Amino acid sequence: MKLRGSELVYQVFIFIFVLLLVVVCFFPLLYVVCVSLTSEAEWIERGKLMLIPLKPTLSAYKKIFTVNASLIGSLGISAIRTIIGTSFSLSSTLFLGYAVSRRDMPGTKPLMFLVLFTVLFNGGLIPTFLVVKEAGMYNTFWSMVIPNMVNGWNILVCRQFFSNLPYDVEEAAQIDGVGKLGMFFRIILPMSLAVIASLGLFTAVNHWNAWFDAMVYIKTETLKPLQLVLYQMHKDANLSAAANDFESLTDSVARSSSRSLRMALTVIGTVPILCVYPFLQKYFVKGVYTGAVKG
Amino acid sequence: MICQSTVKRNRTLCRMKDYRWIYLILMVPIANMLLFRYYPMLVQLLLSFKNYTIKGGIWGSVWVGLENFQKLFASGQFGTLLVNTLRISLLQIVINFVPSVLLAIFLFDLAYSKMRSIAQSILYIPHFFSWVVVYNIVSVIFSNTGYINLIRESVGLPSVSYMMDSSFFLPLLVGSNLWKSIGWGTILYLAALTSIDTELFDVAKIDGAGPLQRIRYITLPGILPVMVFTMTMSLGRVFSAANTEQILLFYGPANYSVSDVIGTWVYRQGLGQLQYSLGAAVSLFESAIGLCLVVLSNKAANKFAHVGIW
Repeated sequence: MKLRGSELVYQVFIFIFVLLLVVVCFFPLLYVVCVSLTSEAEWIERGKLMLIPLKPTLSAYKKIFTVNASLIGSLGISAIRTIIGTSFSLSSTLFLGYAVSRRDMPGTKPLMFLVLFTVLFNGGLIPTFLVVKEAGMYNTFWSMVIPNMVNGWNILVCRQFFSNLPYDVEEAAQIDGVGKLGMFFRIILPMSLAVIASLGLFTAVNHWNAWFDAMVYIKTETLKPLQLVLYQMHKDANLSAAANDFESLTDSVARSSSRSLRMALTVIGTVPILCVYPFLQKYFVKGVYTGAVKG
Repeated sequence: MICQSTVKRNRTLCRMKDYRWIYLILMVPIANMLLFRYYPMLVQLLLSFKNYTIKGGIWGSVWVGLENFQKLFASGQFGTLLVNTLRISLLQIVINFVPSVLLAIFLFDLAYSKMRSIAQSILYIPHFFSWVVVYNIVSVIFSNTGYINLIRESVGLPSVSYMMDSSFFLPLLVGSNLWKSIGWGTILYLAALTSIDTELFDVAKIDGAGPLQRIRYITLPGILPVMVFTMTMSLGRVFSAANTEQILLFYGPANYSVSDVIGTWVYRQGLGQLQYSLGAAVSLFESAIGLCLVVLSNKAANKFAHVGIW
């Protein structure tokens, strides 16, 4: 069908609108990558206003992986945190989700209320901090994976999914003498790969991105995850800028090197996200939708 | 085993026996929930009415009644915090709402489907970035040596310190949030749009309805329930949409008068300056109001949009 008149104007308008938005969204990402690949010499030589480096260099990345050993450590902490945190959180979410979706299990209703109330009300930063301290987890790796293990929202999503599974499969299994635990592992989980994948990916992304809890609980440098290190670099940069305002502005060599370093770290902080992104995209619509709307 | 006893008590017992292993494993997440979700709630309640000292701890510190709350309400600071929290939250909610709806409609109407899928892939990405990463991206664009200021310098304009100046705090905060979540915000609307009967659009076209008329009479009514749902649900977030993590990155002492919210104050003053009781009192106040708001908004969503969280 040929577009004419107002239809054509409308299509051109929304095309340009969407295109502009894509550019606004994409340009900063491109610029960050470019800055991380630009040497300080080239930056100054070309008058600072530049986008694509003509002589791209990996020196900022090399610096991260050679000079500053603690940065590699923080990358490791982030990775371990993501793996352990996600497996703890996902297993408890699936299990609680299974329990609250069982209509014939005595005690489901109070349990459901217990879960729902954690979504509605929270103990606040300081009380949680004191409890974590009392539990002996302060300044340990576990403070990043145990206190946030149970996520009420995800349990609600799971419950929604589990209660929509066809009941006759379960009934058949029950008649065949499969116990409730066997039912969970052999019937329910294999039918729920989509929700497991989407919740797992979301939880993993959250763990990878988290820094606030680490800032509150972790004091030892070698236990700090990557995002927290990035945050502290930002605070340090601000402090030095405030302390010697004029000097630091002219001290462009030091600035530009920390510039490319910071951007290289930023890129490293997003690479895992970009790697799982295609999978996220496949599952997230489902996850969001079941999470937001009661069936 | 299938429990078929006609006596209710026997049936329940039989079912409990059926589920015995489930109960056993459930102990772990339930214990975790009680310790790290419910125990802090109790501690919050206690601390709010006590004067916490390191020596006394949670249980040994003395009761002071409403003193913490009196102190809070008497200090002018609390009013500022409250106003800032509400202002930032409302701005975040309102400014994120309309662009996402518009974008969803445009993406849905876009005839060139290749552009649509490219746009969707790219616009969703920032949602998955951490706030630290987003802050770094913002700073490389807006800082004194950022891209915008380099452009300004190259055409002879003086540089502007967007990151430090308090008048740019709110635009940067809200703008970066919009940048991060505009694409993601379309998902619910797009899902609702695809469930509209396409025949309606075809018939409207034949009847000579233009694009704007189609939006007015078909598209908007089609996603109205979802719009009502998100709007009523965001009523429950008028306290919490001022994202503490984001503000902690973007704010600084120079702009505390507009940027300091309840969450950041509790972190800085409560945790940092060891004012545990005051901090607990503030967050109790916030959580209690938040609870009422969420319950109310869920009621409203159930009533007006016929969906809710429970």
